[in-house]
Amino acid sequence: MRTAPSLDHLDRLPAAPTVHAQPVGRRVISKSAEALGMTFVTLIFATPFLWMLFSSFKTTGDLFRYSYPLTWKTFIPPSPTLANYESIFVRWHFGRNLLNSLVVSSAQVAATLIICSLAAFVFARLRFRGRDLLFGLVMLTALIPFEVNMIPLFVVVRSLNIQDSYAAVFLPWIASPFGIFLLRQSFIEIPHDLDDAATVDGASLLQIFWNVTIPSARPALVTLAMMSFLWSWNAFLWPLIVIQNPTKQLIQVAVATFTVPQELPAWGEIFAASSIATIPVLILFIALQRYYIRGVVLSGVKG
Amino acid sequence: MGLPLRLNRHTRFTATVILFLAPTFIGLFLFQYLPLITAVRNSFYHYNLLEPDARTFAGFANYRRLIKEARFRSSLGHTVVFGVAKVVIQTPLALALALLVQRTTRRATIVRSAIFAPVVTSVTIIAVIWNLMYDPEHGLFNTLLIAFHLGKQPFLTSAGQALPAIIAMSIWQDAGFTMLLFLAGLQGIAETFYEAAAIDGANHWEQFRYITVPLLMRTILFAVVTTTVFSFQVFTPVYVMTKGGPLDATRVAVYYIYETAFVFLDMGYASALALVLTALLLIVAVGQSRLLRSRFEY
Repeated sequence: MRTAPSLDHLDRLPAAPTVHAQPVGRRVISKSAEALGMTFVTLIFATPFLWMLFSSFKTTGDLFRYSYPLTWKTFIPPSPTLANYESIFVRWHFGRNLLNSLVVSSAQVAATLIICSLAAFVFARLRFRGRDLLFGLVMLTALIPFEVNMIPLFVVVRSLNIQDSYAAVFLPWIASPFGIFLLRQSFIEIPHDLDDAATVDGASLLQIFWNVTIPSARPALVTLAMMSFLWSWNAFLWPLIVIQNPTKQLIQVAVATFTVPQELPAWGEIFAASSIATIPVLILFIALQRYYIRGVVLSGVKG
Repeated sequence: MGLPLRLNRHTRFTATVILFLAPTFIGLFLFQYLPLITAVRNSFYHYNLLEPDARTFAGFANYRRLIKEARFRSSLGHTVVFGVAKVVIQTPLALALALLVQRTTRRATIVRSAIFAPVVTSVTIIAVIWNLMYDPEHGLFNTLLIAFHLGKQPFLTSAGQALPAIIAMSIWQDAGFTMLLFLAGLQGIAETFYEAAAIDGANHWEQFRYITVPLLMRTILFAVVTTTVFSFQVFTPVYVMTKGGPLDATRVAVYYIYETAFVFLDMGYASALALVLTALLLIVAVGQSRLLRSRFEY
């Protein structure tokens, strides 16, 4: 399950094209067919996002008035307004949820990086009896599905007396078998000469870890930071279970509960809140997609 | 560090190893192994959170109950339909997308980013937005259907269309993920294979059929298994969009487990359900690996 496809040349993704000699006429036709296909695909994947973003600037009246027939007003707000944004921050206290998520995600990223890199250092750079057994015990937990764990995990968190707190949301995930696996892969590749030189100079293991290993593995650390941020930022089921106090609730659960069945739908607010939860992260991840893709290909984990 | 200078090398080495691994193993024990053991134990008890002190040993009663229960079977059936539809549609679609955008041209990069966007967006937000897109009165889909003079559809409000609508959304979201796997796989295929085939007069289809597909078999297997594993865990779209309805048509297995545990607070039975679901998933994933490997390894 964890055997990844070829990892060679990941940094050069995507691969060079294979262009074959073809009669010129046919090539022009297939070129334009390809261009058409690409435009179509882009529209299919981008439209829901654009609809969400543009609609967030519509007045409630316009949202429903121009929903059909299909005109430019179905997408573009005829009289743009920030009322929806004002409403979510003033009436729904969405700023609070946003802040909660920022705090939890930062904490989760920082703690994951520290804990996983310490463990990965041991598994990648040190030799002792029982090491592989311990690593096996770590990786075994990757097979435990969340559905099995969520029920007793809730009980564990309750008995630790940390339910309804930030810690309860992120603590269970920071010792991540995926993170340890990912960093170990990258730590293994660092040449041993550097360690040896440092050891001769009398450096402790902690100094080697901090001064040699960590600086040499920046890309892998960025990958793990991005993936753990995404897990945390996008988490839904666990915060839904573990947080009862609405002022401590996280962004995803808050957005989902704007949709209250049998109530007047707050479409404008939903569009505004969804845009805030999505668009900044999206821009960041598209810019840094190289690092994220590395993690995906290496692990088959989506985040 | 606070260790006395006179400690010998070996002791210091051992101490470092323990210190470095301690947070990981404390975390894994508390939040992975302990809950797993508890789940197994709870599955043999009648244990309701409403009266936690009234826990009584149940033997295999929870397991016997789930074998007989029609609701569990039907929820499992919905999960299987979801998973099969996802694997069968998403895998070839993702491969087609990978072939379309594998070049390094500017345009391909833009298309790739568009396909990538839903992958890094949360399932929750996507379910919330698609919920509105599927709205029978003001949703985008019916607006488009009307514009093309096709009939309005009920989508999520119809027992027949709700599950397919959720499947379509999920394929839209995850196709990009599988595409990333295929892009990496395509990179591993040496250019020289295609050049040799072109010299032998193989056309594009033949090159695809006899070079790309066989050499991608490992990636295809990986894609099928990951899609299956994710599909067995589907929960959020159902929670956000349909709450299992209409007429139970979208009550998938994990949603049923969630309800049993956190609505009916029946922890013992929910644990048994979760363990059985996991066992089934493992059997399916291992079976898929074996089957695909034996048929296509060369």
